[in-house]
Amino acid sequence: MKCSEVNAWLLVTRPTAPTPGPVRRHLKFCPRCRRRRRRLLHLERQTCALWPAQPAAVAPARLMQQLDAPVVPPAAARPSAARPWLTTAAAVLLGLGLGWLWFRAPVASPPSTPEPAPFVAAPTREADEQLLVKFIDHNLRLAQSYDASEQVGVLSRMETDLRAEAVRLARQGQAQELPLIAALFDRVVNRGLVGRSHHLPPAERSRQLSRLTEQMQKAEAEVNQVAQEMPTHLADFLKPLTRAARQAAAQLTQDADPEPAFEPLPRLTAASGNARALVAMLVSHSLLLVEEDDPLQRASYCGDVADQLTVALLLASSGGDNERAGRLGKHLEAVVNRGVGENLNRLQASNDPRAAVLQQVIGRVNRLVAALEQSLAAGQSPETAGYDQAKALEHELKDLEKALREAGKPKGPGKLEARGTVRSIDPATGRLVLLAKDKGKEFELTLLFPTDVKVRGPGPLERSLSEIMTGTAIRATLRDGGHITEIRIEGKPLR
Amino acid sequence: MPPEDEAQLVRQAAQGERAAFAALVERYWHWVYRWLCGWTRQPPLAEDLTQEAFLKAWRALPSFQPGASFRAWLFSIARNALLDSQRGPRGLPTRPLPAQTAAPSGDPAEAAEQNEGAALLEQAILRLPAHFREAFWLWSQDDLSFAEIAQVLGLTEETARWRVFKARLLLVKGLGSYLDSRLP
Repeated sequence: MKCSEVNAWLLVTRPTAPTPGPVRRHLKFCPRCRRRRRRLLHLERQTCALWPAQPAAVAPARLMQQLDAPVVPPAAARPSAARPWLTTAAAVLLGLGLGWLWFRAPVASPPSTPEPAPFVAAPTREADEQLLVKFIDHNLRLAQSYDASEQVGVLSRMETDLRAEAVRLARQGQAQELPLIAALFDRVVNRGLVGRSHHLPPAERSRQLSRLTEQMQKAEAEVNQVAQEMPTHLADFLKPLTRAARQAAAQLTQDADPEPAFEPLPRLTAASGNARALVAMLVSHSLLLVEEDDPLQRASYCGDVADQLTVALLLASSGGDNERAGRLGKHLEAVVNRGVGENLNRLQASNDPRAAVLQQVIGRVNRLVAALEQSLAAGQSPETAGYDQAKALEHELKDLEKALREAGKPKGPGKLEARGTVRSIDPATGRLVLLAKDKGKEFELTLLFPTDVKVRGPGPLERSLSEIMTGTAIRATLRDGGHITEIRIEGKPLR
Repeated sequence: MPPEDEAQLVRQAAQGERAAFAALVERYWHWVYRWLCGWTRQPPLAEDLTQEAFLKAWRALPSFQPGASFRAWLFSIARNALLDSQRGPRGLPTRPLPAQTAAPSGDPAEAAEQNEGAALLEQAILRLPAHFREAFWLWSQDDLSFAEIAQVLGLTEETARWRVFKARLLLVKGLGSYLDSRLP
């Protein structure tokens, strides 16, 4: 590990946090970094002592007296009972990014009497990673699918996988993991499946609804069966699953019209990089994808996923887990190409020039992924293999994410700009090919413009299209679907 | 306090149980107060704002999303109370606190040294750009995670991490010789 990396770690870590092996090893041999750590420790102590930790003891008591002032009783206005599934899911999902470690702490007592073999806890890391692979695949399929029947098929498989995972965890006595899986299950069936069922083509709707209802009934029966084999404290953790399956079956049977109004979904993160946190993030983004038809927005969701995978990759790489970093690199490549890239291709196919700009970023991301994989394959020292490339990749993904968000916003002037020299311009077809430069690399952009496009510059004067010729340096402002709204001439040659 | 106990207290407080809310006040009062002190540098104002923040929290508890971080939510309310106060008549330039802000010490020489160090650190913190200072102050409170800091400040977790990183980097650079002189 390099001094700069250790320094970065020290600067964002509290002194009380456990020191990872690579950092410890580095500190052992690096007096400079040891001194940095001591400085930070001292800074921490001094900051804590800076302001009095205790105010006048009467203040909280005075506050409690003030509560007697007439206020709306909190319980009267409490809205959450009206949407219990959402609060359950939100409780788990929203807390995930900041409380993953908390989730891992046991919340249920271990069985008080010896249990038969199926309840013995077993290492789950491998199982978690396998689950991650499945959900990456589900997410990618949904990223590429705009068809409700296909989406329902993938969501059904997600339901089956989550159910199997819940049963596995229950059998292994891992009660603390079950609330998250139950919340994800609930969301997949009651939002994903029920929601998408309203978009099925009329010809197959009835057949699909009865198949899905049957699947939900089977899910309820299976989980009930497993719960009966469990000690009570474990069986209780399975109840939310049976409830969710029952609720979904009821909604599918009723075939209520119109589609229920859902709350906006959060764009979950997976700060821990942990496989299960990534699965939760993938489920959340999978549901975002199926509810979205705009390729650009879908590409943005896939960009989120890529970003989170990069964070996980960085953590794995800095922790010396090259094998996992390599696997995550493969997932990342797939998400960038099949998720972000395919959606942008769709955008490009509709002649939307925003896609051309964004594809350049994808190209850079791909090159970095390739470099990263080479480093990992070459077996550099575990602490540093691929780390620099991963950092560069993270930087690129941030650019991509920014560009996607910008491109997806309703545009004001100048939100998205393309700059370069004109390679060709055809006012008859409204097509302009621009030779643009970005980070020292040249690439071609094909842009469309209306016949009444504003042409200005140099200076404030208005110009005409005929003044633009091959080699003219221009800055094109894009909006309203990416078409050029204004061209500013920045340099000669002028006709 | 274990997280499940806190969640239970929050649920009970949201249903109007004062004892549960009193326990939350007990738990978080000094952290909020301390944070506000750091910002306003006026203990009486910080105390007023802390009280205001808890009153608002009590009234807003029905809108609290179960499962979210209570302390991050509480700090958001405190931050809003602070921003509101800066817009109103209380938004006057802050005065420095008397030198006696560090923990008092029995030895006068040591106390003087502590005061000098506290003043240096305070100046260094005040010199930080406001957005770095804000993130750093939150990071210095009650082990708030980056996700919670992000929630309070309305940022992404990465930006919160970056701001704390930069703030600490600037402080260590600015206070290097002083911190070295304190090293064993």
